[in-house]
Amino acid sequence: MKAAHGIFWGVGLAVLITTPALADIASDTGPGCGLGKILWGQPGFTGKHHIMQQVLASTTNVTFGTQTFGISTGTSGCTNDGVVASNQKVNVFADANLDRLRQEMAQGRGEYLASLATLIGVPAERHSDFFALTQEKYSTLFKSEQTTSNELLVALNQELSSHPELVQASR
Amino acid sequence: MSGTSAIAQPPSADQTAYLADLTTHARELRLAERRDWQLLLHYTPALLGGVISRADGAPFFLSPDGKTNPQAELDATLEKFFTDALVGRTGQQAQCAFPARYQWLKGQLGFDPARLPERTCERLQRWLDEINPAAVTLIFPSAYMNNPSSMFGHTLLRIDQQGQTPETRILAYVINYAADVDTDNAFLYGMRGLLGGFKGYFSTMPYYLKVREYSDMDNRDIWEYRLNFTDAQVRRLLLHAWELGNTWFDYYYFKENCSYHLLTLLEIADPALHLTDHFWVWTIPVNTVRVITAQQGLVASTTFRPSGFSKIQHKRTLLHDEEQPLLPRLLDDPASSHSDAFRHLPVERQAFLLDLASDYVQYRQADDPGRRARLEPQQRALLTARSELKIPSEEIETPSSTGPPETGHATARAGVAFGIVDHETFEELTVRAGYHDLLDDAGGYLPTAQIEALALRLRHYNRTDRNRVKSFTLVNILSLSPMDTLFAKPSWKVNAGFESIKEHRCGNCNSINLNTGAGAAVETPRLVHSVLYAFAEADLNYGNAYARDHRIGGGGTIGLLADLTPRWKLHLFVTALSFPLGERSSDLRSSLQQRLTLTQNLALRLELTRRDRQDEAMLTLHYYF
Repeated sequence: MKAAHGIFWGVGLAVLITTPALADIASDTGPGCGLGKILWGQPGFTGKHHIMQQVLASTTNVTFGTQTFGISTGTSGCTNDGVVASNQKVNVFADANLDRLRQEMAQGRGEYLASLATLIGVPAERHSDFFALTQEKYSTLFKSEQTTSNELLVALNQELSSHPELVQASR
Repeated sequence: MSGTSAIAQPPSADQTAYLADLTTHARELRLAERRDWQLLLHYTPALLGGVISRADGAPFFLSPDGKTNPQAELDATLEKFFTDALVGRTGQQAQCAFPARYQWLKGQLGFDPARLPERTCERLQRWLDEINPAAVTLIFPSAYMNNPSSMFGHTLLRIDQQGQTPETRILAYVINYAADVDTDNAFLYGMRGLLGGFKGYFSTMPYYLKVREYSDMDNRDIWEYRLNFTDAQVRRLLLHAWELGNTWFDYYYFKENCSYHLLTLLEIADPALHLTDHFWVWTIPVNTVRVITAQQGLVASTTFRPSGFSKIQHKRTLLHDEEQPLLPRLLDDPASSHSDAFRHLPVERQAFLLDLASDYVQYRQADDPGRRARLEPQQRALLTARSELKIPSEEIETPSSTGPPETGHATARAGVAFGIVDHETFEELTVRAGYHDLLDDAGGYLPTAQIEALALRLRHYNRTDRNRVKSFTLVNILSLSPMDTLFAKPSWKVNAGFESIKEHRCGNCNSINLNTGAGAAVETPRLVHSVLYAFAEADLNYGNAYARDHRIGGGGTIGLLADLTPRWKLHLFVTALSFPLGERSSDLRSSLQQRLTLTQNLALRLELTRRDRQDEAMLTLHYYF
């Protein structure tokens, strides 16, 4: 069973480096479809946190996404009939949750971090290693205040591929 | 009628014969009258007899008469199942565009795959694979005072995934129903929201997007109710959700809103459930939660998901005395994490303080995107310092401060009262459509918020044998946001209504009142939990109670709310208003009110009020329903 997990993790790492999950963005300058930006740019997501403004012009309950995520409405950018296109799942997740990921990587645990690990294929029993790695390499993963989700994923990809213990654990 | 016919081949003779067989058989079985078919097409009794579908998008129907004729729709559906023509808004073969109808009719009529070949539906299959369904969870983000469209809360469904853990549940998809709002104009928004002027659409999106919105940006606590559905029921729900991509529904803010339409999805999953029958005039989201939690065995488990704000407030209660001054210092200057006073703490407590500080900065950033950039250096410094501690944070469970929403009092209220004013006794009958006032038992509700809508008080005076509409409240909203060293939000209130006043000097004096104010509140847990508040307010009165029929002025209110025991609450306030315009006058009111909770839906209230040197005492028994 252990060995099987090891093999799985090895495959997972290979997947990380070579296939959609992380490699897609490795040379790109930003998430291909820019969904995060589309979403956060919608009414209801910007500047709505002034009370009277909210009272006078409210948009929640009626939020963004009725079009982008409309069920069975075909393909548009990052979505496919209302679900996130499979080669964009990591990008979209990281883009939408960058500030939570940043926090949880510094804190060495959390649901956003665990979800990211799951999305990129880290098996559950290796999550704590993954958490420790992101905490250890925090300053490398977030080089500046302006670090984008894409830059984070590129840096994360490099750390994972060159991490001796994790690579060893994969054998 | 709908869609385009791409590859319309003429049916073979055998297909024509088999279609005729099936149609006859379906009519014999009276399938079009069955509840399942009625639910799948969203039929509801029409005003003038017959039925009409609530679905408003024409592509949802395969017969031109489908919106009002279940039989014609069923006949046309069977016919289209034989063709490869692309139908619906989504441009698929009928079997793929309407898979729930297909599965149900197939089960009822026993389709012969040799005579009616089953189509492969790649798009549908890919969608199902991505959603990876295992279970359904009802999601209820609790009420949010600072946005009128969310004051009553919202509901959506989460489709839990196979192999999901508590930590990865944010990756699951939700099914959300929302209006497609294309106006920023508040008045248009209000009118169209009431009159069905917006189109409502179903959509699927990752739960993390909704969590970010509700729990991080709006700071609404979320309740999650895992529902007991079989795999087949979950699948039926999803197949029908797929069909709903073919239509929209006119969105009515009060009744046919998010919560109403989600109930229809649950009825599709299990047609034995009768959920929408409970709602006639309006659908308040928390009441749909009540109906669902009241179904025997439907809810498997309940999970509380605290908002960012709730987490911070809970963590603050866990600070040790010597740590209290370190938090503001850390927020002022993150470099103080290198000070001796800070380094002196155990490393777990250092981590705890840094986490609380970064939670707070995160809250401030989400609360006002305008100051996001300004707070970035601070957040970076805190998180870098935190990462250097190299220990994982402890998991901290935040309890709900209000309890589950379904344990609160019901949203409508009626009351009987006895009282005395100026040596004359009276009786009162009161009724209130919704929802909660400051003195109602706060269990399950926002503790410092009040929304009253459509409240009527009828009074009979015994000595003079007169009947009066004592007051009618159109809407009375009051939001108290207790301020402290970390949080400073204004409190506000808006009140519009009618009352009869000065009855002993004026035969039947009426006044229409508009009042609004802004203020501040502080909370103190000392001795008893209490909230002190003050408002500056503007007041406009119109009616025959005043010379020249009106007066306009302003003033203020100060008040105190105190929970003397968990069941006994006190509210004391004084309002002073002066009216320089119209009838020059002033108004001084003071009131001491107390409420004693008897049961979840029964409470006793004693109010002593002085207004214009006129004293009134009243004892009310309130029943919530």
